[in-house]
Amino acid sequence: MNWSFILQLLITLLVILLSANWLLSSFLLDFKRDLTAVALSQQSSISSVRKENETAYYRSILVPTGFPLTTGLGLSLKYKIRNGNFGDVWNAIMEVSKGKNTIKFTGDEKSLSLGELNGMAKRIFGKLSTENFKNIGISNSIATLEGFTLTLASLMVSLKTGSIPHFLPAVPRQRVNDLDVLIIDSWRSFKMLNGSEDWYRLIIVCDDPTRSPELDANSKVTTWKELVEGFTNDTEYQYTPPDDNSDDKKPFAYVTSPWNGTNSFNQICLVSNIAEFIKGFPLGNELNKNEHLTISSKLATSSTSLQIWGKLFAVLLHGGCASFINPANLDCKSLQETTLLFIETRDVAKLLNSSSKSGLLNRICLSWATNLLSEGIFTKIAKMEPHSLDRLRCVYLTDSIKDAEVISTFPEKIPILEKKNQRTTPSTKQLNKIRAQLASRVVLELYCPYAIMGPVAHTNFYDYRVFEKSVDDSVVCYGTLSTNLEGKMVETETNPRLNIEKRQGMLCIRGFSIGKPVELDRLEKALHLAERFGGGEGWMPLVGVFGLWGQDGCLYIYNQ
Amino acid sequence: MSFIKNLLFGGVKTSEDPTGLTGSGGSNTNDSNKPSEPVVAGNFFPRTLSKFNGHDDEKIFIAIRGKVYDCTRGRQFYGPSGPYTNFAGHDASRGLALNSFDLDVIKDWDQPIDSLNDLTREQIDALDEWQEHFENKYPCIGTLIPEPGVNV
Repeated sequence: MNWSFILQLLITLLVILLSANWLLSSFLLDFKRDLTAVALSQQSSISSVRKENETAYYRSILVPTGFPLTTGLGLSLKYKIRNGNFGDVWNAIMEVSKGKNTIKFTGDEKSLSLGELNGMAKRIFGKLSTENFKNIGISNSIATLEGFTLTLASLMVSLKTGSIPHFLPAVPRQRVNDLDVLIIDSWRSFKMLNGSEDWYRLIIVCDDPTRSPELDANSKVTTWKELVEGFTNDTEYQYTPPDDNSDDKKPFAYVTSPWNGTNSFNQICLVSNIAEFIKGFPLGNELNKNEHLTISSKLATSSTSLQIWGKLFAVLLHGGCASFINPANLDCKSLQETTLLFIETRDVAKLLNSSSKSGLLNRICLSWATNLLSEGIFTKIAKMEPHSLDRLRCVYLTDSIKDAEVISTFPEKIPILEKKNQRTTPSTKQLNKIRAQLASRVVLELYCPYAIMGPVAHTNFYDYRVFEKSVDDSVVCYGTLSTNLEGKMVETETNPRLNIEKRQGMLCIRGFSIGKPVELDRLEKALHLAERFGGGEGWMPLVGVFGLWGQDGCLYIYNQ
Repeated sequence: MSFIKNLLFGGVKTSEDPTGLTGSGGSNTNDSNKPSEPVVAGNFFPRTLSKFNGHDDEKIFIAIRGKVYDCTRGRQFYGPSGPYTNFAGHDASRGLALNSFDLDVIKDWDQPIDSLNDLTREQIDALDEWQEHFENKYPCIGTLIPEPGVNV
């Protein structure tokens, strides 16, 4: 072997590599990308004008400026379009599924059909609607059969009598206005009422009636079992909408936060939320009748359950099934049926650790998969559990605003941003690793618990971009705002370092999924704050949520 | 070589920084894909208003009786080749009052702002109706004021 041969060989190799790279980068990769670089760089519609101390208005490119935000289901009633409400939704769910589709609850071995659940809910509805109760307090988890059917029944009652389901973080220690019915999980909780049982006209205990303590003959206590006794499988739910479009303004629920602030949500919050979720799926990946949504039971505790209804009803509306899972039991094997998974970001690590797959080949596959993902190409070559995760196609990771209590109290004094550069959410690189290992799309969602129904913002189904570590350390990319919201950043006196010209500031939003404070003093504070930051145009400042709009139109929130 | 290099040695492609926080991204670069910066609402002179005609700038602003409206989403009416394109970037008050789209009812940016003193009752009523229509349909983004030394 002489030197000239080696040189020729090296030059040939180099030419082959360069040509292959050019061919791949210029042609082949472009054809395989889920979303073009141009689409990823323009994800929001931005208003052409801004006020002096604020940024332009940003909204998802799916609802461009000049078009209405997502308001509801767009149902036709003669020549009018209605947004719809819970009645329409449940009626359609029963018609689509014929009562056959199922929901599996935590603690239950077998799934229950929607016909059975509807039968139970209607049985409870029959008993609750005759008594003209005011509001119905629910402190149970929705992930249980009892909690779910009682909530369904409460929603049915609310359409008939105007009583409002009230989701409580715990059994109330102080009297709550207009709360006539209280639903609690056990006799143990009942014993701890400590005399407060007199505040209610009816107490429903979701426990075994045989273990009941001794009660008076004219006691106002009943059990879930007694209420549903004699139920039949019922695959029909009739709802006749009014002629006008007023039914979406009716209350859907009250939600009380652990820091005792109660917000009221209208039916339009629910239906706009459902429509928003449906719209979020790109062409070719739409919701279909084969969906199976698995929800972490942590997201379904009474007052946090506000965030599950949009996804749950959207899946059921398409003829899909659902199940609730205790995050402690979350592993790949438990997801054999799941197509959509809805969990907290902190639970995803547990899911990934449940696979024992390792070895050199897997590491190479994972490296290739993450490389392809960062190029915008989705691949399943690194799937860690091929048999268990065959059906999984999207994982929704929920991330909550760090200090939702501050937002809920509408303070006059705006806090100072303390950048910590410590990320608690998976980085963009880690998110791609999750995508590669689960062989599923991953959507990161930002929630404002108890105050806003559904996500404030979420990443695109096809957004697999990886940012530099310094960017990931400073901010979290939450994609665009939900299509039922629009937002802007505002300048605050306490944070002069945030430059509004560079689209940095405190986030303000307006739209159809925002709860309204029930207490008069909180409502006044909210109105005052809205006036201060939005000129009374319906803006809700998310106090303490500091971020910026990227050039790509996405919302980036500072790590605090 | 980045794709092949990442494939062979492990690594991922990092996207351009869209936040401008690191200084390495294109936050301030002149990229044709990036949307134009929003205009700050406030006072407009006839001169500064004139460029927002949908042609020199894609935004379309129209002034009526001193108020400036953002009519960008009405591009099919006021944009280039639209039936009312003459109004874009101008004070359209007289044209709307007279229901005329002729160029002679629109003042150039270097002329004094039209006082509209000679309008008849009927013409003022017509203008009121138009203004109400604009008020309902398009956001008001500022005020048209005379530029010292140019319009006064």
